[in-house]
Amino acid sequence: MANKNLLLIFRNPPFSDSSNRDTLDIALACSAFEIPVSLLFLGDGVLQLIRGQQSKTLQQKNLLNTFNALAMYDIDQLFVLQSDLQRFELIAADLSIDCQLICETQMAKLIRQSDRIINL
Amino acid sequence: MMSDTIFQTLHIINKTSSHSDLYTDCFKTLLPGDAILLIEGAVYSACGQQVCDLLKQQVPLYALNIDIQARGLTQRIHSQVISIDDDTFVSLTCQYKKSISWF
Amino acid sequence: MKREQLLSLLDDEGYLLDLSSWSKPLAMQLAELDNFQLTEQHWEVIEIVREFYQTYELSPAMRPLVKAMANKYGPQKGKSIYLMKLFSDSPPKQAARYAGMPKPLNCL
Repeated sequence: MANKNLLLIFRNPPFSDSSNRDTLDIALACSAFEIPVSLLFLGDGVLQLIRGQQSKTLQQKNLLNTFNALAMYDIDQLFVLQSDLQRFELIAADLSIDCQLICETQMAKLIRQSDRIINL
Repeated sequence: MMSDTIFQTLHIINKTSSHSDLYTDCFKTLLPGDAILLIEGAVYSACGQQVCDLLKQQVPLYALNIDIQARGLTQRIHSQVISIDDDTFVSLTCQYKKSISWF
Repeated sequence: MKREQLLSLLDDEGYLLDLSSWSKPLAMQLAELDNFQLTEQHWEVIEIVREFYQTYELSPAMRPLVKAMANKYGPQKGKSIYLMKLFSDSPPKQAARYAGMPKPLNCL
């Protein structure tokens, strides 16, 4: 049986609750089991990826460092809404990892095409 | 006379502008003499055009520096936002008669 | 260090409780505990695991470990079969243990 493909959605800013950490752990686990996985950073979720975060000031681990490991796990289907970037006045280069910029219609398609969706 | 219009209520917000209800509710309760302090996720609202709605409120606007740094926003903070350290945070809460949390 | 003293530094699964207490001699003692001999080739892997953790705050699973090995030591050593021959147990787990790093998550 072919592996179902999975879409993971990040909707929270950094340093909020554990949902970004938990969803990232699922992504890394999927890599070990060779489950095809896509990641969508939606709304406040895009803030998780801003370069130059210094979690030391909060004496916390920097989750951004672990997001930077995604390429090492061959996870490269990463999506961000163009409209979310605009809303926060960001450009793709402000993000620490390379993401594909998509519009709302493409996002709807992405959700339609995914077999399973996790949106914590 | 002066004492009625300075250092009244410190409004502390800790969520991003995606929680728009939080901001509109806060704005409804603002009076002269109040101030707004942005902490945690609310510091994103101190950046770029997003800050406009806050500046329109005509009260002092503070943002907590450790939260700005942690989120990689140091270069993005609007020049009319007063960035404060932890000690100033404590002083502000003492200076104002009371604080209200919009969490 | 006595066996009891060494064991007191480890969690239930044999990983170092305090990452900052790691040293090369300690890694060798851990290996001795397992009757395992650390060679120059093992040290290369241990070093990679430590670098990976410093960069990503994460112990690598097999796939990223292989990739990191390939990046630093070339395609001959960047193969899972190479790592499997080197370590008796699961390479990511065993290497993380001797590297004083947490147990890798989601490791097969």
